[in-house]
Amino acid sequence: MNLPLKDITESKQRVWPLTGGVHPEENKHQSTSTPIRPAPMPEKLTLPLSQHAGAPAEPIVAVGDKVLKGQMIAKATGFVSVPVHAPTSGTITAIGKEAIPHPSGMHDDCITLIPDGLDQWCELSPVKEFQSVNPLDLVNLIRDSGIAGMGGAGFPTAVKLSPRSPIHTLILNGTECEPYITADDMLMRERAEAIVAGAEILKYLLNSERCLIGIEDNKPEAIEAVKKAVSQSDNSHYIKVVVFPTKYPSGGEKQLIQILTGQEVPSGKLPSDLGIAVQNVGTAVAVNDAVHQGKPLISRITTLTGEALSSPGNLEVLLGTSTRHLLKTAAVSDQKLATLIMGGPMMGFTLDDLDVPVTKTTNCLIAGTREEFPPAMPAQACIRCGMCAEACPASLLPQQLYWHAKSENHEQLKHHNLFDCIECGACSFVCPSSIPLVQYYRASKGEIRAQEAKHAKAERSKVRYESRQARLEKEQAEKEAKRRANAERAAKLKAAKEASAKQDSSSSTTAAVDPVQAAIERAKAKKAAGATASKPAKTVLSAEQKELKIQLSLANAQLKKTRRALTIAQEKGEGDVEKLTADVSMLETQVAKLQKEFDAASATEQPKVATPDAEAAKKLKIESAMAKAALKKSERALATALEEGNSETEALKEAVEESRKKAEALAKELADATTAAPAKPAAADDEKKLKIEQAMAKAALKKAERALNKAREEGSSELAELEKAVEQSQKKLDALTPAQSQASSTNSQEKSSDPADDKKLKIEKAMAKAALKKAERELAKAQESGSEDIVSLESKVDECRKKLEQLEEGKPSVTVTEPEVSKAPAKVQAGDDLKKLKIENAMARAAVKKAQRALENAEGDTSALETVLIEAQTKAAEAEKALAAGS
Amino acid sequence: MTLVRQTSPHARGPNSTQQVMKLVLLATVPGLAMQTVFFGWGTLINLIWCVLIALGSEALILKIRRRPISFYLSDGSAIVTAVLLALALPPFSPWWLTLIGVSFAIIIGRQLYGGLGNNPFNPAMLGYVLLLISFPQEMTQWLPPMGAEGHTAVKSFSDALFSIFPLFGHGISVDAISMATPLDVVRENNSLTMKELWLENPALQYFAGRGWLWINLAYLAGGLFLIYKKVFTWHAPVGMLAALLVMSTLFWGGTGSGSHGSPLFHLFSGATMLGAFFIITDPVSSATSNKGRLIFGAGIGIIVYVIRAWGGYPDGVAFATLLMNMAAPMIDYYTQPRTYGHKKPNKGLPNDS
Repeated sequence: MNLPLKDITESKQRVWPLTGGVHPEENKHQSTSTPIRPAPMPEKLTLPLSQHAGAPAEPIVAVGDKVLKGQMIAKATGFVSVPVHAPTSGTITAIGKEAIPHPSGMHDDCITLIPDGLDQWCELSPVKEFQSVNPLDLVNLIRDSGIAGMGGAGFPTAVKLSPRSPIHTLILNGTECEPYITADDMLMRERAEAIVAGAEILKYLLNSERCLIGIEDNKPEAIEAVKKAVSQSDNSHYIKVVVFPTKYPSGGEKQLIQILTGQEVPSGKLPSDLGIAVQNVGTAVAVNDAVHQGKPLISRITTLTGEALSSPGNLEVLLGTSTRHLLKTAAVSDQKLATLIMGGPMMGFTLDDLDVPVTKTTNCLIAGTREEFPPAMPAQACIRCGMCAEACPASLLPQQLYWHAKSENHEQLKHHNLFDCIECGACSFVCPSSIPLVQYYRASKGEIRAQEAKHAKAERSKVRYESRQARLEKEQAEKEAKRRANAERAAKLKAAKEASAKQDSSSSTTAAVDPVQAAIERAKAKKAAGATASKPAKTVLSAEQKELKIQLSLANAQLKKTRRALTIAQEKGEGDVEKLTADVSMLETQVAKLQKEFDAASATEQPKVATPDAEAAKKLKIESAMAKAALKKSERALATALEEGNSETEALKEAVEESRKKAEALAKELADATTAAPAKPAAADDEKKLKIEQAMAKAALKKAERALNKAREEGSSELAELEKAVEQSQKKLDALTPAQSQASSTNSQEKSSDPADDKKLKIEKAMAKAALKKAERELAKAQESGSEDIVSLESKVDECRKKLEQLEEGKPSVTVTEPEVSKAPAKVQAGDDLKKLKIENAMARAAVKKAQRALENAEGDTSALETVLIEAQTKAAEAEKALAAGS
Repeated sequence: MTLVRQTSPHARGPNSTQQVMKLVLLATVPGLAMQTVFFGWGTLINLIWCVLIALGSEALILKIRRRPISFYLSDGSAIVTAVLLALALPPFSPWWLTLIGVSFAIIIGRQLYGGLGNNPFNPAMLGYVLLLISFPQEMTQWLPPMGAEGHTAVKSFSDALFSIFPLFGHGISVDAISMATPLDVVRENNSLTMKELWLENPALQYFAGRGWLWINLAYLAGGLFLIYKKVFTWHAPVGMLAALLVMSTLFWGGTGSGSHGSPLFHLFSGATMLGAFFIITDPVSSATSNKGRLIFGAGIGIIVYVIRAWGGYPDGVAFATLLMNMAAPMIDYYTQPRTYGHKKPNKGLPNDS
């Protein structure tokens, strides 16, 4: 343990004046005449899971469980969170929504405990020699003891004890500047030794040089007691009690720092950035109890005061005790009680429900009469007298803020530093026109926050849109290459066919009169062409390549996620940065390897299908897309840097500029290359081409859907993009289908007896049905998840249904004209159905497998994945059953 | 039992707009007394007449605007406007002159802009300037102060009353006995040295005007009382007086016939102290930050001197106040205080910085 450099007890501690401030009537004497007394055991304890700032705790007990006093009943979830402990022994009777103390009067998750009256402690494990324990372990002990700031904000103490920069000064806040409240005052009078002992632990944990205990000069007894405790301590050389004039709001964290050190916490920064940590004296006592006695935070001192109480005072209250019980203890007069305030009269909030529990932050309950807190007077006009500006501890211009808040001029509000307002209420207190100024500021802050969130969302959508655009371009490029390859094949095939036809015609010119025979032959040729046309589309990305691509994208996503986690961790200076860094480098190598493999695979595949020219274009396109992605990344980095006021913004700006240039150059090159690329092959057979295109579109759709499913499973942020891509593909396919059917209908007009057409129609119908089903499923899912795409999905479902209807209308006409083939369709249909079922079954099974794999890999939110898995399993079972029935 | 729901703060200070206005009215009493002593009952009669007109006009407009009349009248701001205008008017101003001035100040100067708190100009000075431009003769008829020849004519209460309201009887001929104010005397002088002027002219006494010195001292006392009571800060008055002092020192011109008058003469003549502590401290139409008020006051001090020394009017407080009222919003933009935790204050409009 580092010994302090100098002894500070003898040096005279200067105090700086508070800017602004007011002198409200103190009203503290009512509750300081009696010592702290324990509140009687209530019949029921209601323990909110969120008594602190940060993520709510998670219950680890079930209804009906018997718990012991001090036993943890809800665990912390995440870094900024603390657990909840049972304040006494008893039975858990309910876990659910209850009224909690909140300005909005909201209900939230609570654990209800019925005391058994035994008040039986669980086993406690006090720390004997805290100096010999690793500070990190002690901080964990403090977190596990459920300690959150006892001054009112309730910020988890363990988080404050893990600062991002070294702390030289620890300040214990014993100011208690709010009128009425005397909880800290009485605590300092009666448990000064515990405060000093807590200060020693906190100082050890923060490794600070000195500790200042700031107390307002209206608490002479407390000052006396704490000074005595300090002088009796072994560590009195670094602990100093500093007394300063009483003025509201001296006890605000920023204000206290100003008074004790003369420094101001820069706007948007934390005290730890100045090397200062501020803890409430109550928190110091809680830390002392947790370390030296092993007791978690299960009770606190709460001031009960106000003119409606006939025996006001300070009570040691078990957390979860209802205010009704406490008011009864303090002999409340129901006739007199008009206003019940939790907290102080300047910053506290009114309660309209007496059954809300006392929480870790409840320092005071004021049961006021109507005379004590008369209803607000109607606000008069602001005469810009400037009394508010004189009172403002942040040197704001409340009169100007009020003016701009009324006209909802958000720019001006921000320009007048609205967000530096600490909502202390000094301006409202002095306003001669009784204008509820703080209320205006709260409302405006809310509005601005909402608007900024909206802007941020729009910005994100823009980024998404751009990346989608880039991806579509890439896809388009790939498609172009495929189409060219297919066209070449088709041309070759046609040439071959023509050659054979010539042979045929030369061998038997008279035989080729039968139109049916000719139609069959044509259908065969078509089928062959279709087969050859669809094959290359698949071979463009071989199975191996596909697998590699999927792996690559997965690895990339993982890398991105890890990188984000890493940056967050680095920013906050918390979490396991080293492990994350290692993960990132590992993932990077993995990605590089996969990329190489994929490149190699595509290099071996590509020449087969793509002409050198097209290949170059493709490469260019990929490069361009990559450049664009890089540009976007650097832009995003720049945006975050700007937001945080990072010093690297200049460098980032340059990087963005560079990326943009590169992307532009590539885009231009690409445009040149594609225009220079060979013109589309001569339209050989329009219908055929259309079919090929359609097949390709279908493949693209399938791919997009698969990607979408994967994204859903992984809860990826690109979900919306993918959905859009699917939709796009679907649209394209839809666009192609009519064209094709038109083409084929011209065909069938010539040869309506063609049985292949009938079959085709059926296939189309089946496909349309499948599409409809899929769309409906998607819609249902979207509705479940409350997605915004419901409307578009609904329209898609309608579209699919319409298409199906059209097809159904088309079919009978064929069957009527061709009665001889009308029997065959049933069989074909049955076979078709079976096939479809089989495919569905296989797909469902694959989905189950995939979901299982994802679940295994997933670490964070598995519940969503679990439901996906269950869904997939039921679907697979259904498919299997259907298949069994079908075969 | 239903509990009250309201947002913090639940405690409220003892301040009220009514209280502020009462203090302002109280602080004008010494000056009013001095003006009555030196210029007769006319000022007091004017004052009562002004208050009646102001309350009447305010009530009328509030009724037309369908606002609660007593709620707005009880804030006392209309009375303050009326009193300040009454103190600025010549003592025997005819009733119709006052009627026009006060009703203009209240109706056009205040209510048409939306009532208290929304008026860009000081309403009392708006009324005063309207009268000064429209009725220059009536507005410059100042009476001989106590101690000067002819003062006995203005001592009688009935004379004062009938001069102001000739409907009920015949007053004195104001024209016949009126005399120039000290500021006028010094401005018009181009032949006598200052010493000779002070010896010859009954309007001058000591280093300032006869009676005006005491009136100004009384307003100074009232103003200091208001600063002590924290009704306003020292910034605007100090700014104005300091600027006037600097200007009058720089352009004094010695004691010869070309002199503009000594700095002390300017500080304690005309409406200097009334303006510095009661007119330009109207918070509604002045700049709002302390720094801004210092600049606002200094601007007025400079313009007052410019008008007195080289302008066409004997006194310039009203014009200077209106001119700086126009500049107040801009001053506000550039004089935001530095907020806690910020390195420097924000300046200009939101998009400037």
